[in-house]
Parts: sequence; structure tokens; C-alpha cells
Amino acid sequence: MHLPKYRCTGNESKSLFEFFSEGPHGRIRKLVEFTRTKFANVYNLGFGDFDESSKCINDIVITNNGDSMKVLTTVASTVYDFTAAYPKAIIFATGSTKSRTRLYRIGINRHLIEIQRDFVIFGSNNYLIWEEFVPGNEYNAFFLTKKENQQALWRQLAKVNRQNHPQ
Amino acid sequence: MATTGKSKSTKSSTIVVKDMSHLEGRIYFPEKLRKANEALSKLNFPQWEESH
Repeated sequence: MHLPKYRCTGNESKSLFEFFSEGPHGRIRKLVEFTRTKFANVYNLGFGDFDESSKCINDIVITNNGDSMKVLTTVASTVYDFTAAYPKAIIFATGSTKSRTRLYRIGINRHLIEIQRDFVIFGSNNYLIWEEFVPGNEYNAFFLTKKENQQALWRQLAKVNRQNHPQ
Repeated sequence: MATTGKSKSTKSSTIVVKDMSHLEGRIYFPEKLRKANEALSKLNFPQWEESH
């Protein structure tokens, strides 16, 4: 992605990335974490503000540093890096709050053409019925994977759809 | 904080690898991971094989 983003550092295993948001509220440390779920090749994506005192990440706060899109683009760059290291990875992402989920949707909508060069995104608004991401539709959960994994993932999701929406 | 200084160019970004051992070894979103596993369990995804 050739859009503005922050300089990012990551650990050797690509499970953690760090960058600093800069704006009216100062310099905010952000962490992105990819965590293995119980399910093969599925990783949960989380990111938020790192709290220096508690050493925890706050993924509910809206920092309002005036750089939401730049932050999202930076997070997206970590997805590129992570999936380059783990090409079979399926990234599962949800927003911790409705407003964050809406922000993700906006970010995906804006960059969809570029994203779709390398990835496929599926969305659901109830975790039960899944479809390939349609701009403007409301979703509260997303799967993202490299295009080479698209058929395998869709076969799995189509089974889910049939179970939950019998014809 | 040691920085290896290695950079790897990917198609879309250059991310510098850094020693983050002081941040590793814990899960930062345990509740989110729990909910993710709960949601995913309804989708009948295959689980990791034991060798992983």
C-alpha cells in the first residue's frame, strides 16, 4: 500500500508489531498482535493503544489523534508482512466496539481495490452467514486471506452458510 | 532495547525487525481471543494438528 502510514517495527515471529501515532493528543504507542486461534491457520488480529503503566493494550478507546486512516493503513501493512511469513494464514478480525468495526469497514471500503489484488475478504454481520465483502454492507466480523487460499476458505464458509440458511 | 536493524521489504512495506522480547510471552487480547474461538467453533473449522 502506497498510502501514508507509520514506520513500524515487528518481532522476528511477526506476531507483534509496534508503531507510534502522532497527532494533537501526542505520541501514542500502538501494538498489533496476531494470535493463533484453536483453528488451523486462523489468527486473530488485535490492535490498540499500549498503556505504559498497566502494560496492557486498550482496544476500546478512540484516541482521536486525527490519523485513523493512517493507523489503519499501518495495521494493514502488518497484515501484508504477517501473511508474507504465513501465506496460509486466515486473519479473523472483529471490532471491540461498533464504532471500531465501522472504522474497519470504512478502511476496507477505501482500500478495497488494492486489497483485492492480493487478498480476499469475507464478511458477516452475525457470524453465521458469510459473503465476499460488498462495499456498503454492514459486517461485524471479517476473514482475510491471500487469494491462493480463497477457494479453500470459501468451501468452508459455504458449508456454514448452507447449515445456517438451508434452501 | 536491541534493534537487529534487519529490514525486510515486502510488496507493500518495509518493517524493521526488532527485539520485542519484553513484550512477548503473553496474549494481549485474551477476551477477544476467547470470543474469536467461540465464534469460530460454530464454523466447524479444522483445528490445528497436534504437531503444531
